Amino acid sequence: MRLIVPLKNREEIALLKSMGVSGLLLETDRFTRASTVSFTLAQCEELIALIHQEKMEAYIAFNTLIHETDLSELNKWLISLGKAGADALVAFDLTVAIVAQTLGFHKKVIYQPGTFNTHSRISFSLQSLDLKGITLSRELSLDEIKTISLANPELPLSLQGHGFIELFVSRRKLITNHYRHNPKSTRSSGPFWLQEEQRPDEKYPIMEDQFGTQIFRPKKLASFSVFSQLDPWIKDWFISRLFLNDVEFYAAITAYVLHEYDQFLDIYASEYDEGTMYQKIGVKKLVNQ
Amino acid sequence: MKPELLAPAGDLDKVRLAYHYGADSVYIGGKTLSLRARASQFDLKLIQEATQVAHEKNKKLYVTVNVVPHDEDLELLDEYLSALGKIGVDALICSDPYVIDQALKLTAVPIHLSTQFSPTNSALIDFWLQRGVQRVVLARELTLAEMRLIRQHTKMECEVFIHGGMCVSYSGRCTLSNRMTGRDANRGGCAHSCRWKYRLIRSDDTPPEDFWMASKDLETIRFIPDLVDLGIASFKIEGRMKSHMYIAAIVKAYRALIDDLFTHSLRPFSVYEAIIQKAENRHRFSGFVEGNPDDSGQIFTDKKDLPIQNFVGIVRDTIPEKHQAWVETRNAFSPGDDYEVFSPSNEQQSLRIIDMTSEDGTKLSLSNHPLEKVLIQSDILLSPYDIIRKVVK
Repeated sequence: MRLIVPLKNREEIALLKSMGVSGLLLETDRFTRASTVSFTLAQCEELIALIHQEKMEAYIAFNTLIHETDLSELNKWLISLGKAGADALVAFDLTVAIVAQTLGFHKKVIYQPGTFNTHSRISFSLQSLDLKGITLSRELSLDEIKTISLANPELPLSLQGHGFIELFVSRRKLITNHYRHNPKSTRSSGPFWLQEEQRPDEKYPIMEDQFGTQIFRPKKLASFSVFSQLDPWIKDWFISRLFLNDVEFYAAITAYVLHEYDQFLDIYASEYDEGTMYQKIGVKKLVNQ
Repeated sequence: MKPELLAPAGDLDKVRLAYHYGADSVYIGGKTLSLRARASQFDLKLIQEATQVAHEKNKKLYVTVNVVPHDEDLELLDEYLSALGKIGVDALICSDPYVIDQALKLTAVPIHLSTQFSPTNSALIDFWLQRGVQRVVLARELTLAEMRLIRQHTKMECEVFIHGGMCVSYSGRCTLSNRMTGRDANRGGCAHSCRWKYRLIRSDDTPPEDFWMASKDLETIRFIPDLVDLGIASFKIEGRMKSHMYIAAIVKAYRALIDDLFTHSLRPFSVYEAIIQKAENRHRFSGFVEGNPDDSGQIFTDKKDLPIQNFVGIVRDTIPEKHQAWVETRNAFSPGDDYEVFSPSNEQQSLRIIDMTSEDGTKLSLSNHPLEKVLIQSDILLSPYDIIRKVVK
């Protein structure tokens, strides 16, 4: 399994290489929501070259929904990134794969919609798009992941396996709207959490950026107990670094690379769980978390 | 071209009602692979019956097959799609690419791409057009300006939501319910977690504050002329779980508006809004048509909207020569009060109830059992599907 992690700056490339990371995810200032660091197109082009010098792969995060007014800019970005040799375009919106195909890209797009890749036949329907892979949805059980993998031996599968996982994405600016509705409140720069009345022990991180509002699962996802089981089925393992400090982020990478899970959990166990992911979820209430 | 008015229905009676009040087409969810499957009564037999009702009236019936399926949901997919094809429903509303492929392969039924797939641009829409999809239900997050651009860049037939509930998240992209209740939002289990009360906690010492994110409902009466100008093919009303009164009033209001627009007899928007007001008790706004909504598009309370009590009954059958009608009751109903009749053909007409008896012939001074059938004698002639409302002074 290859670890794919977001890059903070050029100085970090060699360090992450030495830690055993295979691919670096570049978040952009134009097509990435909830980013840790935002790179311009020119910076992405430059970083791709540096990443390749270290014999690593450069992935680009496209996790916004593409609106009509984004299409020409998307086209421009893809042409430039194609020329720069980007190894993968990680797409929340299928539009990225469609535009990439019109530009003649071959196996460049990893379709990562968050919720839609839920069954073993999805790849057959997306075959015409010549994808590099698909990221399985966050609400699957282990058995379902295995079934999908066995049915799709040709298509590389990936998972968002560690860190804060998104639960909700809105175009609306809900924090701005909150302060607009409560003008006497003083807006702070955050971070912010939501606490639901009936679940006082859980705090859901919420953040707003130019694209809207995102809400995340209350605890960070750790997948140590299933990582080895998933190894034969999953090619790319995405680690999120949103809201993680560098020490914790590097510790997580080390834990997965060296299978030193206990050392990580000795420090961070209270902030993590395996939560919803990997549990069977139906239409009826099965688990009261 | 005059757009289609597309109404929701949660049961066969509401299918009939929606057509009666002016819907051109109705969409329903079956017991299988629909986001309203848990509450649906529509097995294949009822879907067939609903389709017959539609076709007898020269109208259309669409069926949603719009869950985000897991492997276990796909076991009966082919059989189900083939059955819907044989029934001859007029469209299938789907969001999953595999479901769409199978529907195209196994049936000759037109496919509409569900808003659950968040169609927000013409490149994505054209991809589906080339695959054989005939219509796309645009994402509810689009502004009028964005819809205009899309219409300029694609030949796909477009449908838009014009009225009803809205997700605050992009449709299909939310798993709050999965996480908080174990119910899969994309398989019909949404617990409406976005409508719950939250506290906003900050990293500084500021005390937590109440936080709300629920959306107001969509109402676009004042934008219908703009949407007609854009060449939108279908205007869709949300609300498969809604009441008879709601469906009747919302369909009637938009029917009147569209018809008036096309006969150059448009009345002030307040006339159509007043019809909606008879059934609506939820806060409404114009959605994204004018831009990304500010706080005026949200509800900042958990106070429940009080159900409207003045819908007292629906006429089921009539005996015109005696000025009598069988009424199925909804709320307390007594001959002494003032009533009005709501029907497709009139604005409103006052009604006096002269006499009321139960099914066994007992004279009644009050009916307060919902769904009770009572025989009334009135001062005006009534028709099936007329709705009787109590006049609130």
